[in-house]
Amino acid sequence: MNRIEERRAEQAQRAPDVDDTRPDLANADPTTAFARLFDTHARALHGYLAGRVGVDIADDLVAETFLVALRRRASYDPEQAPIRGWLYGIATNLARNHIRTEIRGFRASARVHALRDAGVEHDAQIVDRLDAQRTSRHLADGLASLTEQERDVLLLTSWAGLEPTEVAAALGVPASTVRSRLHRVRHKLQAHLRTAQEENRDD
Amino acid sequence: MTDRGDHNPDRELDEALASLHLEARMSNRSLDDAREQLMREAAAEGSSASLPPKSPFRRRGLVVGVAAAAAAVVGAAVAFGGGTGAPAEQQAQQGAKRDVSLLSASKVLNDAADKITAKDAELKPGQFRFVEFKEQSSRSVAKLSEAGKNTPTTGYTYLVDITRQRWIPVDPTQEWLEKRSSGDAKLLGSSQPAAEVPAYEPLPTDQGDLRGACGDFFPKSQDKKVCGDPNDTEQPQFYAALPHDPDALVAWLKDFTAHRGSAPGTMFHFGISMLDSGVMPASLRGDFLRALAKIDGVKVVEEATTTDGRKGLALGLETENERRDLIVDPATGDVIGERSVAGPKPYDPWIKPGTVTSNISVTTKVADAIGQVPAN
Repeated sequence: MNRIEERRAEQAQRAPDVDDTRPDLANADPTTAFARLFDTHARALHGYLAGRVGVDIADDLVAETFLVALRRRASYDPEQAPIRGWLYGIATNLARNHIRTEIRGFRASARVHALRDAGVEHDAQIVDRLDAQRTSRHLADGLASLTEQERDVLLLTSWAGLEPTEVAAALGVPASTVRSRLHRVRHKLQAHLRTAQEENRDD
Repeated sequence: MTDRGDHNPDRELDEALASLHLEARMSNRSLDDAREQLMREAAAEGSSASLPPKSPFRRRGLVVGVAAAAAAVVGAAVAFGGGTGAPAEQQAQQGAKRDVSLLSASKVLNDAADKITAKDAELKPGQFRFVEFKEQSSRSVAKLSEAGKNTPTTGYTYLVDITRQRWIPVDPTQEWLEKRSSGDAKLLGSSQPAAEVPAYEPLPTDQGDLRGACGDFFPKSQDKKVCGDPNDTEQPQFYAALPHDPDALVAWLKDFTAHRGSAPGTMFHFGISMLDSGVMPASLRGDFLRALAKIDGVKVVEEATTTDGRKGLALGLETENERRDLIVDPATGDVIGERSVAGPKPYDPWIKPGTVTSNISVTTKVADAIGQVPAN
């Protein structure tokens, strides 16, 4: 048995307990492994990044994230955590270069919703939508005022759909820190939304 | 936020987060360039002389030699691009779906209605409204256990690809044309082993050219089609008589489905069929979406791809037999398709819950002549 056959036999033996959530990137053929990794995660990753920094920058960041992942593939240990945390950690780090864009985006959303809110539509049937717009305005405002770490925890959970352990792997902090930070930031934002509801009631 | 019930800060925050920057997050911009760039670098990495250093944290793994790695690249790349990769590709596509379950269906439908800017193209004399339905439809052969019982006990169901192209004249009392063709048929389920199921035989009505004034393609049918019938959802006159106020539309839909019990699922089912008829005017579509947003139980199900490859959000209402989904493009407000998914107790007991039993996408264009398929 040559070394390729040995490797295939070993992989075949391991196959039942190796899944796509924990690929063995260091030992796998990079073309196959990264084609699969890209097809599985790129679209969702793009959505997460586009929500934070806009679709144009997200296009570049998705490409960059996978290239960085390829170069650093030996640093991913499938036994430590699922691949998503590691991948989104790279993406979140890269997105840090665009924090100003991100905050500008949230501030702009808050302004746009405020303008719509002050619009001329008075039809009773759009009351619900006005409520939703006010909520969006306050949420966007609230997101812009969070610290970078708070926003990372919240959006990795909400928009990327990561579990606390995956967020922990992404940000390099203990899962307990993720949970307490998430709890804190959600309370903070709920206070913003309460303000929105009080405004709605005053109208 | 009337559909949200009692005050629940956690749910409200989740819904607001799910809605914020939704268009950007749902963007379907091509990622082909990024993928190509990655594949080029991956191929170069695979064939280069050095492998990345191993992490000090790694406890297992076997690093293969340079020649072996290069050989594996070639073999694996071929396998990945080949037909055997289909299940993996399907799985990958499923994995790439974003979680949209927290979105409020009411907000998605109302936002979609806000975005409808399309106007129906004016038809000049001699032109035709061209409507193309690309469908995957269930065709079941079932045997009822007892006379008078509606639930079959044995039988089988195929999912058949059907294309229907319809030409509707400016004056609907003139001749219409519908070209039908059926393609692949896939066995969805059966009460007997698959090997014993008879091969699919296309139905005569799924193929060929049908002609008739007012869309009366089956003039001998007992339920005689009447030109300009305001109760016929396939005719433009039907939509001209509808109210535009969403509340009035809901009341009308309730009345229209009274013979079937006016349950929310029934109202949603009929509403979808009308939206996807290809003849509902653009000026009514927005209000109609707002009306559907008011039906109890409508939820955002998931991201969905239509039979012609367009991507959108599926909004569905589930009953115990079936979930009906409307597929909307949140960026444009366009209704791009509909589908049915078997519920916990499917109509045919040999169909597994969750199976897609029909899938339809509709495109409308203007044709200069009957029988002529317009260019894009």
